[in-house]
Amino acid sequence: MQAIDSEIIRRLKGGDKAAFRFVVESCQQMVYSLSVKMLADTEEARDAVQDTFIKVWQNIAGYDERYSLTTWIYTIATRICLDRLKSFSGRMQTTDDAEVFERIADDPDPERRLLASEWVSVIKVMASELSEKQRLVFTLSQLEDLDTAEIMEITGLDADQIKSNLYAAKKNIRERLIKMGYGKDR
Amino acid sequence: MERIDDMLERLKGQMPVVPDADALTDSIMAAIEETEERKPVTVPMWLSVIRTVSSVAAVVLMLLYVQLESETTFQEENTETAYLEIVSEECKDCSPAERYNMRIEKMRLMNRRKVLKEKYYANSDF
Repeated sequence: MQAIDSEIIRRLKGGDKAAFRFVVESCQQMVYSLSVKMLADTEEARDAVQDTFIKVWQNIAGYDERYSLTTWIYTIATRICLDRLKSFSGRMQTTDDAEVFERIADDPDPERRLLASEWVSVIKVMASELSEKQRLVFTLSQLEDLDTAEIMEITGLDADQIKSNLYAAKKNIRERLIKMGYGKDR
Repeated sequence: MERIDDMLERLKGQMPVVPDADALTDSIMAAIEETEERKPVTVPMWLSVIRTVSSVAAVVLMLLYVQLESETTFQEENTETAYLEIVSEECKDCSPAERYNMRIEKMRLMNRRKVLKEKYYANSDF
């Protein structure tokens, strides 16, 4: 992701659409990644990305420059995903998802990048029984690889809450995968 | 357990690629343009102050008018009642003919007042 300097932010606050386009191009990958992992649906994720950047554009005047722009965008995206999670109920796991997950788990190339549709299957298999908070913390910490301070800023949770939700999420996923037969080496 | 840990480790930090990223950027920019067009026109501060003040003044004037109207009606009603009382007081010892004449006079006055009142309202802006 390209760094967004203060000059871009100043232009963005002044309503410069070219600067906004630059921010969209720089950050949409990050927002899409979060949205796919949270919503487990590629179409919903695209809509969430669009909603996020509309909100960014509409609320840029209120952005506090003491904080990182990407963290602020992450915060908006997180709220949009949580709102969508409440109303969207198309995340039931199918046998296809289990097959895709198995193929990825058995893939000898650990460096292979997963397609968005593969991510959807992985999330459906792993995280469909997590609570909203567990899912959010698991996504930000485990899948997006953000540090605790950043997760605290994005979610408003304290370090203990993050730790306990992450522990519960991992425990839930392990139990689920063990039931599916992934507990032992093949 | 190792297999699960390997899987979790492998997923760490990986990002699903946006299919057709340029199209997504364009659709976001188009959505921004659309929201800009739908944005309501911002009213200058002085105009909204004038609007508020004139609304309050209009309400005050309406209330004043209603109050004046109700006072006038009350006075008229009072005058009529007083007149009737005077007539009945004065006519205690009157002959029937005198009472009849006074009643006729009273009705004439009331009709006159009614005509004047109608004329007043016809000529005024109300």
